[in-house]
Amino acid sequence: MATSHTKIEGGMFLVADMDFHGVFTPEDYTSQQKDIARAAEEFITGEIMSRGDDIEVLDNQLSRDLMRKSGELGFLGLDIPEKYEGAELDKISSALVAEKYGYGAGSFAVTELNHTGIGTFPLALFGTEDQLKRYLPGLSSGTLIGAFALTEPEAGSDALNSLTTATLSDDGKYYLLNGNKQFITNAGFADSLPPLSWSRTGTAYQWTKKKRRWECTAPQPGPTISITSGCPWRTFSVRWAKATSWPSMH
Amino acid sequence: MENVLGEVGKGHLVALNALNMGRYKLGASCVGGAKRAFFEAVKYAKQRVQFGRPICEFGLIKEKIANMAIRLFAAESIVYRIAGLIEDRLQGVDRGSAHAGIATAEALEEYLIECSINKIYGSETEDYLIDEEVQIHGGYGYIHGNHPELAYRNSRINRIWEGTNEINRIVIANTLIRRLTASGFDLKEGFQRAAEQIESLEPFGSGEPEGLHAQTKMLESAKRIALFVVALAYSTYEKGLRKEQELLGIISNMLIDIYASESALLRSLKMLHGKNPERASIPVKITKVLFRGSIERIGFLAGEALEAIESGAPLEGHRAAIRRFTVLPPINTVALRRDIADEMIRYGRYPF
Repeated sequence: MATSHTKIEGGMFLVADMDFHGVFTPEDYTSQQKDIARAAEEFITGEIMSRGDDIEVLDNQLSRDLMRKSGELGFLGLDIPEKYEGAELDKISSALVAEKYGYGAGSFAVTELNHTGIGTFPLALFGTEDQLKRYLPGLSSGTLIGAFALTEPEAGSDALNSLTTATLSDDGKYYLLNGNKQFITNAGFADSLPPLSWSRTGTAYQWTKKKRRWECTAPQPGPTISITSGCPWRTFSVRWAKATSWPSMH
Repeated sequence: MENVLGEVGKGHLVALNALNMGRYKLGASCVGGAKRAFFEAVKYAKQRVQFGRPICEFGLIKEKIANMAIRLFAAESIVYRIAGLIEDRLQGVDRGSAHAGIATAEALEEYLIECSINKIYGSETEDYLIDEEVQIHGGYGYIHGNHPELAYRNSRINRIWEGTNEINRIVIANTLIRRLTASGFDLKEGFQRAAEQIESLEPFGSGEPEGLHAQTKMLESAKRIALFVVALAYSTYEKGLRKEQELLGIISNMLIDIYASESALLRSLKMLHGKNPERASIPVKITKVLFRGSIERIGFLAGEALEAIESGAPLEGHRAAIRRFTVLPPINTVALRRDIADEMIRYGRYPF
């Protein structure tokens, strides 16, 4: 065809002829990729599918336990570098494992996918060295649960219409978050989630380890801002993932 | 302060990139859900007896099983093709280095269009298969406690989150136009060239040649038709095209069909030229049936777009050109689907 490219650029499939030699297909899985897929399948069949309907009711403890087990076997850290206690594997392996959870883990697949995808990536890809050290090992082992707080009552598809603000405290030590997030998958028990706010000052979050919840405390005598989980939404179906909203923070 | 991700004031870059990452994984997860639906549907069709025989022996059930397998084969081919593309981009990057995160984000950004296609095709494939799983189970599929009922409700969210499929369709078309113009492709001039190319294309001819030569040619024509529509739309509306959401949707639907068909075609060709060409037998049949539907759909979509944009003599000329090479060589899809379904029923699951 008219245009040819030496390397495959995104979207250019429309104007370039593609050669089958350069395309990765499921027939090209390496033995290591097949082993990982098989291990995931065995774990999911034995530990998750076997529980039947128990997977489909809200049970935070079971959810935490299964996340811990998934982490112990390395399935949560496929995209995380070894130096942060991840498995540091290729993207084909992580797609294969996502597929296996999608196949057999019912609603729990949502918790796992949310954690390893949008719950981990923002930190893994954009985090500072110090942030990676603090959070990635926990996200890899499943001792920390990830989530991603983007949606707001007035910001669904129009995500940039987010109204949550992050204002630097007077002493410059904290960002004070003020806003309302909803439909946040995993928020009911998540430890590590960036409530994204950029309307004024940028992205910020604060996690209080001791209380195991998100909390932003401004220096006295200023106002105290507490971020607490609201009631879980009764969703159309997915019962496991415990999407919640945070009520307005003042 | 120590918890700020990325640059202050640039949180939206983190947020929107994160959604792109989610889309690459979500497609894979949906393929998993679709494989399960396929397994449960085939299993049930083999054991459920009506009119004195298992329902999997009836033509309309076989047709469903074949269509499910075809759609699944295409979706799976897309997921791992894209995973391979991202992986290729990351070759040579030290995964433990400080740069690795940004390099991964850049690789995902490069394949923004493909990741959106992945999300749409994956989630719509999963819902299609689960809907047919319910249908094959009949009333039992509607009863709480059975797999189809649960799967039907669980899967529905995938067309909504991580960017609704509508938003993703807008992303695909807008990104494509931005990329084409940024890469020096003159879309206004390209319209004239694309129009000439369309005129010079040859019909596919008749007969059903062995292998996938006809499909390879059809794909080339489909790409030219789609490019022609993109160029025509852009040269007509220029920046105002962003407001013509229905046209953007048509463009995206053509691109999705092209990418799905191409992914299945390239995979089948790779199998055909690999160590065990006999394993390609069913994939080749799958690709032929897939192309029958997708090429006709692309011709239909192109016609809709043209009729919305043009009128009079130009419209008639372009319609005739497109019609000329979306007339496909005869192919017995009823027989091909039966072959595909029989193989699936024999295996009892998705076998690839």
